[in-house]
Amino acid sequence: MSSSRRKVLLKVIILGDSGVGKTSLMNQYVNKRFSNQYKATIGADFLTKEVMVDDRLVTMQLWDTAGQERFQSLGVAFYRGADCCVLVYDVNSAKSFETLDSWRDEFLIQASPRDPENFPFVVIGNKIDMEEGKRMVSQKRAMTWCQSKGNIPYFETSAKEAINVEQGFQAACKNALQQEGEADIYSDYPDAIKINSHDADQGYGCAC
Amino acid sequence: MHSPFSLSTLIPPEALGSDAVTATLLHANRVILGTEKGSLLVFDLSNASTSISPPSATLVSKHEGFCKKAVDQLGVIKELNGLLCLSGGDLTLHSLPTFALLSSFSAQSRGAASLFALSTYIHQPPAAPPRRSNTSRAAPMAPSSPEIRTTLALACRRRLVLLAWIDGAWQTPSELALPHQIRGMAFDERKIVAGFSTGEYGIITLPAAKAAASEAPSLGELFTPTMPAVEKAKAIPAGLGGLGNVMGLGALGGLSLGAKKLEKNGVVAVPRAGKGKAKDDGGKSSDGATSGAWLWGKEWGWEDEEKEKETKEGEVLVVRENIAIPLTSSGKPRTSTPSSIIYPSFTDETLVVSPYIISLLAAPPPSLAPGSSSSSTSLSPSLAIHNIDTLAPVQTLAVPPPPISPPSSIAEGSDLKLPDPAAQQPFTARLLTVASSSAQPPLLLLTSRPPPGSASAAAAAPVEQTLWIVTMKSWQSQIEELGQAGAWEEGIRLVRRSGANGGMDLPPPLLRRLAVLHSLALFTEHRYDLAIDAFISLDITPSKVVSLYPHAISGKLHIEHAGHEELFGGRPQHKVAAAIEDEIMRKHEAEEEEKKRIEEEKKKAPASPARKGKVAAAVDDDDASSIRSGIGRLKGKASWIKDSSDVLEQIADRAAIDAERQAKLDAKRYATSVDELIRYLTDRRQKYAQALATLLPSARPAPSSPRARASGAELLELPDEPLTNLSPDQLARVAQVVDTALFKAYLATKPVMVGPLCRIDNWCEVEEVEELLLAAKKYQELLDLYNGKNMHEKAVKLLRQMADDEEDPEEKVGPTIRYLQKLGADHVTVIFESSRWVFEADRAAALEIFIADLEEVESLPRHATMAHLERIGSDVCITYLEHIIHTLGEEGSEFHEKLIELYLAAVHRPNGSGSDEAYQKLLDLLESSTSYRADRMLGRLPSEDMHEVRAILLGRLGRHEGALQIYVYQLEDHATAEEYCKRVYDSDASMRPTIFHLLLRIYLRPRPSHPLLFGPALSLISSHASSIDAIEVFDLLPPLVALGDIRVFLEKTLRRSGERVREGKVVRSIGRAEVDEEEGQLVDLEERRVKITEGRVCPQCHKRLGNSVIAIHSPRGEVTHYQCREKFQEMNS
Repeated sequence: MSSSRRKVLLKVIILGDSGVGKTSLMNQYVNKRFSNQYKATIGADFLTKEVMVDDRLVTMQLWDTAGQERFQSLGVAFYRGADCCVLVYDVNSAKSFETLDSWRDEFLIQASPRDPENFPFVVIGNKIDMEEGKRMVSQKRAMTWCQSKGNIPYFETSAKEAINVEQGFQAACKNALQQEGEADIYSDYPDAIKINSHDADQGYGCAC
Repeated sequence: MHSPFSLSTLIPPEALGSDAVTATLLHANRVILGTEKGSLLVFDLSNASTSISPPSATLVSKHEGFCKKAVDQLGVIKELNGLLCLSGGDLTLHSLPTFALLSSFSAQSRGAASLFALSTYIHQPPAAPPRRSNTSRAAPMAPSSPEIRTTLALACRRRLVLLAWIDGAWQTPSELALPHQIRGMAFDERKIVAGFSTGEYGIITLPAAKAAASEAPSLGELFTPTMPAVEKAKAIPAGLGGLGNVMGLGALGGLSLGAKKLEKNGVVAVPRAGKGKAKDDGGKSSDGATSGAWLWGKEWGWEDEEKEKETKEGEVLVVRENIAIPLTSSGKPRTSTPSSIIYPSFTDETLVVSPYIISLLAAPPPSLAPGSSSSSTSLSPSLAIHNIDTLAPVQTLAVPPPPISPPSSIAEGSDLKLPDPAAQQPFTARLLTVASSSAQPPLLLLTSRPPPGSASAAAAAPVEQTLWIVTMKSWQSQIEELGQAGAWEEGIRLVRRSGANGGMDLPPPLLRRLAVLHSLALFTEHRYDLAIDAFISLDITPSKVVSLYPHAISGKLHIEHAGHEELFGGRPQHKVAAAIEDEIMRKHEAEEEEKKRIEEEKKKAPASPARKGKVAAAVDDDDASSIRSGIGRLKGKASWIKDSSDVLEQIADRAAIDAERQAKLDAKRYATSVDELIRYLTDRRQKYAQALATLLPSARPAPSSPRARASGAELLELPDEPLTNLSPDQLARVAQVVDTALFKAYLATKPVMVGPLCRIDNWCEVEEVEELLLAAKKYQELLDLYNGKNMHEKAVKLLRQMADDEEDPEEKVGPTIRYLQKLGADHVTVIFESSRWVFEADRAAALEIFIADLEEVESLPRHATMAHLERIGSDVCITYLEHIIHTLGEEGSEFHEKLIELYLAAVHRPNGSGSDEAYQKLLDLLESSTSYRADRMLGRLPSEDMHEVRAILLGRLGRHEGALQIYVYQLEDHATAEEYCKRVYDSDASMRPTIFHLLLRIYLRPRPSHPLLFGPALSLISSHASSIDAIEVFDLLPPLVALGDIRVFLEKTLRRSGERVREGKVVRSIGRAEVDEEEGQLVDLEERRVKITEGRVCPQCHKRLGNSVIAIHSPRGEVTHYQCREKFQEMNS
């Protein structure tokens, strides 16, 4: 694979309702820090992190978005060119889980990816460190949803305790790379030659 | 082609006099003419720049004998306010407007000057050294104001004299020796392109402005431009009717050999376009569309031109014989084709008035064009006007114009003696040179000199001459004129090229209109990305953008291709359509001709393998065809005869391949255009969402609220304004247009995306979208859409249709049930309405609509649901009520009563199946429920039947006697009656003493019609002896009872009374013991110790206590003398 030595930049967009912990997850992943204080994100902000995936140096550009307003202040250009989308919800809030559907739909509309069916998403259920009694969305329910949307990888994390955060983003990165690889393959080849497109019916039967 | 120029008489012959005019100059509304005899004529020009009235000139002064010889060239140095006059090989400088001689340059020219060229530019000296370091010292040299530098190049035989002024101050002249004589030259900033008499050209580089004194100007290598025109020249004049064919060839031959000396080798300066300035201005202004910045920006599709301009080189136009070639100032011809203009005859003079090249063409001498006399229409000179960018011909004006054309001048009445038609007396138009100091309006003068009719007066006779003015129409009207022909783009290029103003002085509405048209042009040129960017920056209403797309996407907004221009401010549709039709006709004709030609050729051409090979080679780049042609070649070897038909076949094949390729290209373009449309629409989606968000919630339209259907025309009339400026209603329309189009675009190219769009909040117009979805069989998406729009009636209708096609009974009703389950209380009517058929289809499954364990289902109003289900059938209603009562804990009496009624009805159903079950359920409910009104239920009961029920109800009402009577008389169920009593005994304390008596009384004092129930009574008293008062039992018992029968009772009663006595004793003893204990405790608590010391004093009498008897007072334990105790108590109480 010729592209494997090339330096890769992946644009990963993190979406989800406000207060589910998007910024915390990103901060935990990139800076290994967590703060209990809630500060609403305004607009969007990004951090970068370099990771090695299969001998490849990949720069991940993680875009944290404001969950409070839906796609209003960010231009279409912001979503275009995204390589992966991380959908985050709070396992202790049923509503934040139910809105995942519309976050996903909105993202697809805004980003208009080349291959919307196979666009890499990752779902993260955050805040599993809270006590079990508070939990509103069961793992089974989340998994079922992910399966119905085309086997989206699902991770349960805690940004506070740094549980599974690394794995979640790692999966996002891998999927994005895989997708990119496939896209490259497609774009390298021109239109396939149709061997049997219109000569097919001539081969059958005799001419008399 | 449009005709930007018009010719009209400026100065009639009588005013000009008889001296032949040899030089002209226009400066500050003055027309200065130099004559053959060395005199100057000065005219005042008025109305030159206005189109309101025709320009006119009045004679101001005449200076006879201004020079000794004929005036060859006139020029003006503005900052010196000086007039340059070249006459008799010498150059003189005169002051304006007095024409006093200022200086003569005869020392430099030495009587040999043949022509001069002027260049004036503003030199901005480099910025002063950094100020921070030496503020005080730098003060005197800091202000570096721009300098005006003027350079005058004077060609004197084989020398070039360079004279220079800086800010009007004379500089030392420099000189340059030349290999040949200069025939023409032009400045381009610090370069001079000179045309030599040999036909060669040289570039003279002037020293950099900074080191003017030390460096000498240098001449680069001479060159002859590689003229693609040389080859062309052979062909094209032939195409033009053989005009000047022989001459052209001859001249070119001489030219290339370099043997013949050229009389003329003109070089004409081309003013640089003023786009730099425009660019700067555009940066300041916020509204790019009206400021004209779009005329230059790369994002408007000008990058190719941009690149060309960035080379920093100006252009000059090299003119000789009948060819004009634009060269860069480094001597390179243009790479684009055509790279030259070839005129039908020799050019006398050429001028560049951006964006036009204007050439005066000499009248073709009849002798030189012997074969062309028939085709040559005019023997008079003419003005040929070409576009400088494309070098395409624009206009040709006959000089002088045919008499009809200048009616204005006839109307003036000033020049009644118009020259006779040109055919009779050939004119010689001699001068065209204009030295105009004013940049605008581009205006040029032309003198035409009709010689007198008689041949005898050829030289000496006074000539009749007229000064014509060539006026150019305003840019606006030129653009309009071009626009009428659909050539808006050309108009825009015109503005770009029109000199220093860079289109900035055009009225903003026109500029915007052009910008809009340009965006459309970008679209039609398939540069969709740029076009979409342009649409966005021009705030073109989305409906117009959408209407550019085929019907599949634009739907009702669709407009025929011919109508696009009108929509974007261009020509009306019918005109475009007519133009297109014409074009098609022409094309068709051309094709026909081509076909004929091929046919003929085919007939003529012998079967030649070479030709076939050529064709094969031509199609070689396509795999399939190359194979085919390869086969063809093999075949060809076998039979040469077939060849010609093979050729034809291959031509046909090629056409097919071409068509296929074209189709492929079209498909690709279409895909790109739709992709760009999607980008545009998603951008608009955000914009309208933002605009909507700024509205007050009360004024904000909702996507789901019904809206009257707008016709396509209405939508296209939405204003082209930023979305935030629109009214809420308009905004809603825009949103509809955007989302509907987005939907269709998705459906056309990315069907997967239809789902997400339908699920999120959207403004799709349902009427348009639903048909498409139905056609595409995207039912799930349609359901989502209906759901989002609260159009549940439609959704369920669709679901029903889907069910009709479904075989699997589970799948038949499943989707509908799931859909209805999610609707919730707000859409209860829909749920009810559509549940009907579901019930018909599958009763059990349908119930799930109402009893599923879902939040929405539980929220349904129960009364309405109950009423609805009762209409469906009592069985479902029963199930529902059982569900809400038993599972959801419903306590409402209506439900309980309804359920009871239903049970009653079920019990009474004639067929009786399941009635037992129902009866049991009824009893259970009546027993367990507390939420019904027993009296009412009692009223509903049939008078005869269902004694248990009645008994329960009576019991509920507290009418235990009635209830017991039923058990005893009607049911004769003594066990139950006893059970009943026990229950009442346990649950109701007030009834405790009497309940068993009631039963006993019924047993022992039955109604007259009933027998005495001695047995049950005895068993009752024996088993419940403890709960029954014995005395009353004896009252009730008949006088004669066998002792054995009541022995158990008596025993129990006796034992019980004994037990009571003993129990009483025990209780009494316990009570006593408790009292004792309490008393002892009290004594303990009241016991106190006090310490009487020597000094302790009685608080009552204040004497020492000493050894006297004391009293201690509770509860605080004060100690007084015993005798003082009463007093003390009195005081403290």
